[in-house]
Amino acid sequence: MARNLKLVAEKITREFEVKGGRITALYNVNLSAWEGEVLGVLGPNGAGKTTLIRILSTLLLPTSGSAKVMGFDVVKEPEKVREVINMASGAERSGYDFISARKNLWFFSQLYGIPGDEANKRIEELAEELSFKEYLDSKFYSLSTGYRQRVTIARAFINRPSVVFLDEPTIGLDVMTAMSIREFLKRKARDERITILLATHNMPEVEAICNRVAIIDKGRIIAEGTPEALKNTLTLCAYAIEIKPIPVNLGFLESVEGIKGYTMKADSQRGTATLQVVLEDEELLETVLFFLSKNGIRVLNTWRKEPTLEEVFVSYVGRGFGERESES
Amino acid sequence: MNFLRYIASSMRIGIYHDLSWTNPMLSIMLRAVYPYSSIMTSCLIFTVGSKAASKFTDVGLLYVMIGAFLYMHFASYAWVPTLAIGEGKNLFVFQYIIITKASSKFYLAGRTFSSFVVSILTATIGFILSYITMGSIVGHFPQLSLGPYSVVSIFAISLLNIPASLGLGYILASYALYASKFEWALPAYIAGMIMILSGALFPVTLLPYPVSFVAQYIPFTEFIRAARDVLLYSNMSDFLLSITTGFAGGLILLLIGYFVYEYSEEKARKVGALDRRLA
Repeated sequence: MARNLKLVAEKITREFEVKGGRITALYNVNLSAWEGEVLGVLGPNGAGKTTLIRILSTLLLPTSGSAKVMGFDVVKEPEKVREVINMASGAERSGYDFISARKNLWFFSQLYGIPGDEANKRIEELAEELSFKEYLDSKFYSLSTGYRQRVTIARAFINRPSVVFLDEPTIGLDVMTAMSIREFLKRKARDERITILLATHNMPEVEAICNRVAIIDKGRIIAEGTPEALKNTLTLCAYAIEIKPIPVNLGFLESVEGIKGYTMKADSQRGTATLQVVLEDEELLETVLFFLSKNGIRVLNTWRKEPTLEEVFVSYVGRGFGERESES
Repeated sequence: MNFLRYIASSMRIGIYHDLSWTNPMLSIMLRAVYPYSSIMTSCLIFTVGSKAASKFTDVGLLYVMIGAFLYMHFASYAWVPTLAIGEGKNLFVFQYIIITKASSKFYLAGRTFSSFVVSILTATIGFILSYITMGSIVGHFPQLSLGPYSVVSIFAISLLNIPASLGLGYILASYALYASKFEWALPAYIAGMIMILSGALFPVTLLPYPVSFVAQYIPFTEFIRAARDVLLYSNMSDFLLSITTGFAGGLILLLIGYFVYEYSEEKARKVGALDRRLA
């Protein structure tokens, strides 16, 4: 099947004026997405994901660089771009509180010029696909977070867009709702050939639905490829080390040469933590264990991990998401 | 003709917004309280003051009553685009309206039209109630030139004022596109400005020069003057002149407002304010 390029961004840079100077939110970002592809933009909070989506969806102008969606320039032809795109954000359950989900969706369908009968049919179809048909006539404010998010996702597909931008679409949702939304997105990309750009910091989500991933950090795309290809580039070794007690500070690991990065997940109930380290060489594991022991930390268990996107991210950025976010 | 669809759907949202938070009839009655109390306040101040000076006349009372009625009506929907943006940003809806096929200008026009419908109803209720109340206070009902022709004329004045209110609405909405903090009392400021500059309660010639010069050419001044011509003085030639001038001025204001808004939208896109939440 011939594939068409639906989205191309070239050298996009965006700077913002702040008190005392300028900050660069995006720097020389190049990106492309094909028809029917789910492209994940993976990065921690503040990495520039939302800024990128705002530019591609015509809400924000880039400081320099260019981008085309379906061949239309986002800077010079925003009206044409708006006809073929849509977007939704998980952080914003957008809708008029005082009217029903159906009327919210109907309103947006009208802003896309969809004839009444067709709009009603489409609303029913989307509600069926996203399993909120029984709540269509409930007022928006009365819906639970999960159902509001389903309505928000439905709105993003009301105009049968060619390209959809989704910013953390499943953030804060329960596992079942998040899964059903992911399934819906996969179907839309596969069956209707819709290109989806998914900005997220949820790695399992990226692994579940994205055909390709671009890793973004501090406004720069630092790696791009299919999840498998990215994992295969990982020549480093990843280990999980279960430790006790939960260390307050692991700064001493930074002095160990050859550690590309680490993350830690604490289990406060058990009083243990799982330390994930990405090492240049497996022989360095001994050194890590030695330093842990030297700092009064007992090692309960150690095992080698199959590489995940998280390790890929750590190998490129040097730290995991948790640490990156606490820095920002 | 898609723009009619955009405007009609936005009007429908506006009507829901204004009336569906409770029973629609109750909502209209509650919304009539504000124009009623405003008209009553103006009329009472005039009555008490003029009676104390032994200068009370029915014409004077009706002059104030008609002016207060129309300025309440005009002011109450001129700020609707500003409110629609402020509220839309806070509900995370406005950015999704911006990126639809429809322009946000049609959305704001639709919201203004819906508010016009609600406002004409509530201001008229306020006017009728004030007329009855003041009649009982002063002991008789002042003579209005009321008939089918004058009622149609007043409705025509209201309709012809829409471009002026929408134009002012676009200019004010340009502020909301940029704002990071929203001043929810803005409607009261706008109502106050319209009251002073439109000759609603006193002739604009009383204002200091050059404000008086500018004020007499503001479309709202022309329309309030036209309403008095038809309801108070039965002066049809002046009425026609006033509504023609007012309408032409309104179209100019609409054109200016349209371009100011368009320019602001592009600037807001540049600085990243279109989807900025308001405090």
